Amino acid sequence: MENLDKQILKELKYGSKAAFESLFKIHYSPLRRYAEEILRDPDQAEDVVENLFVIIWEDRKKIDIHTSFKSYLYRSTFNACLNLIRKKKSENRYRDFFLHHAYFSKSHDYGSGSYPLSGIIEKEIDEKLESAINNLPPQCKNIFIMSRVDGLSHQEIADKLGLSVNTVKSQIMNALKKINVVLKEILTVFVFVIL
Amino acid sequence: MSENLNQDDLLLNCLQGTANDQEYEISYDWINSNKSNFSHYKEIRDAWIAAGIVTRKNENDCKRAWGRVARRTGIKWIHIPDMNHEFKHIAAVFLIAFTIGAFGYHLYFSQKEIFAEREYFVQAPLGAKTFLVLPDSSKVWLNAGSSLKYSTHYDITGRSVHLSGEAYFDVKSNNKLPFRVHAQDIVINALGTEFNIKAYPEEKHVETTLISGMVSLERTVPGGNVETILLKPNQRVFLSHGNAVKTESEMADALPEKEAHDEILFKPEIPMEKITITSVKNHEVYTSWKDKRFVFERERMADLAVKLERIYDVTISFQDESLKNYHISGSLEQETLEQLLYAIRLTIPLDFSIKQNKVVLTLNHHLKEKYDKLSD
Repeated sequence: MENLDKQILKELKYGSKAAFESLFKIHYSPLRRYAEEILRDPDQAEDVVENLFVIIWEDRKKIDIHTSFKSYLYRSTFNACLNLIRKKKSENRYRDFFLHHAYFSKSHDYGSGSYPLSGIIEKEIDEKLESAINNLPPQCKNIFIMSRVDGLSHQEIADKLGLSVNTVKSQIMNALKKINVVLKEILTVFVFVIL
Repeated sequence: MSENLNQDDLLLNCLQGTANDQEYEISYDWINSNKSNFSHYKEIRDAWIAAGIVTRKNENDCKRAWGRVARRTGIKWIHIPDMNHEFKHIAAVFLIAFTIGAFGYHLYFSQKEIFAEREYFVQAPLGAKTFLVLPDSSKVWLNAGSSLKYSTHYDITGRSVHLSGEAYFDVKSNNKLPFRVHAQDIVINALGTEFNIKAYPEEKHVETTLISGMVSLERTVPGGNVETILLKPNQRVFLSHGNAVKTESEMADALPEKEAHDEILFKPEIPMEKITITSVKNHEVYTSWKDKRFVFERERMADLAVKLERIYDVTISFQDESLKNYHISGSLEQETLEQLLYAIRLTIPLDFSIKQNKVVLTLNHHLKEKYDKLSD
């Protein structure tokens, strides 16, 4: 566990409000966006993350963290989201699998133990990913944002831009592949020399 | 290949939520049929989610959410629901009277204790960093081998701290009580800002890098006058004094080449004293130590060794002087010293031995020949 985390945890256990506030301010926004990705409902996402922090404060003396605060918080958020989803009756279990990102999985080998983004959550992803998205070719970026942020269907994007649906799809796949390259890069460390 | 493309289309529809029931089922079976399909799906899914997280930002929500959480945890104030006004007023009068009485009583009997000024001393040992939150919720990251002193009157009569070593400050803004850092013989004044100060006693120079906001730097020049220097964001001031050891050329070496020397504000009155202000393109080089990451750019091996000694709490000695003059760039996250030295060995022809806290670096002639050929 990292020193900063140890320090925050230690102060939290002593009841330091400032430590709790800084923990909240560092992690709230990304966690909320993460919960929103899983639940696809902004209000529920807000509730889940707020509840999580209230519980952390109430149980602060009992918290035991072996990895890092960040992965602890993400894992807890993911689990809380899953609990919420399980309570709802599902109309179509296959649909739920995709909408909620591996809500259930046939094969436990690949399903359990890995929650979305678990591999890179330790790293600071925001800045690098943002620049990766901004550096996509203009057309590709435009299409990707329409799909990802504005939630337009492939057909709608194709109609708007006068392109074929296949072009739209392949541009989105290209964008995702480039983003994935950055995700993998974030995991690697480089050392080079200038003599 | 074409099968793959179709599969990707289906996966996209599923993530987007526009697939039909049958497509969901087909994709689900495809994903779970073997491990490589699953990891292919996982890659697309993670990229999809990560992109969603970075593109949908709404930081304003954080403040409101904190208000709610603070109330629910009883950290800020507890709302008293549905009490009628009259009762509230009466309760308030009693409460105020009682508080004043209790405070007066306490003041009278424990005057000495309240006003006795004591000192807090926080130290980051060699090989470890420390994070602390000051009473006004300003944040301080102390680098290895540094210490910070502040009084129990902090945030009451002023906001002064004394620093020895290196620290990164994220100062809460408060116009009434300016934040003052005393480091060696200079004083840095800040309102709400973020900045880095490096003032290790053994290094005989002070460096300040400003990330945001504004700071002013005060120092007493020989003759008793006080000189003030204003620093803008992304500027770095380097002040060497006493028996200054850094020469002009060494200074230039230590700086990444891209950074232009903007101006030299102060030409030495006493030959050895020197202030240099440079603008900084990549302030990470000076501040990254506080995160997990540590970035170095065109660093002389000799200078890097000094930093590594602090980070890993070891002593490093060079058997061959020539090793000191290699330059190296890179970034490291949480490698062990051994892993790092192995990585360096890929570009600099060295051998190393680590015995307890002592590291010895030697020149590997065989590697040197090999690397020299490559660079020709």
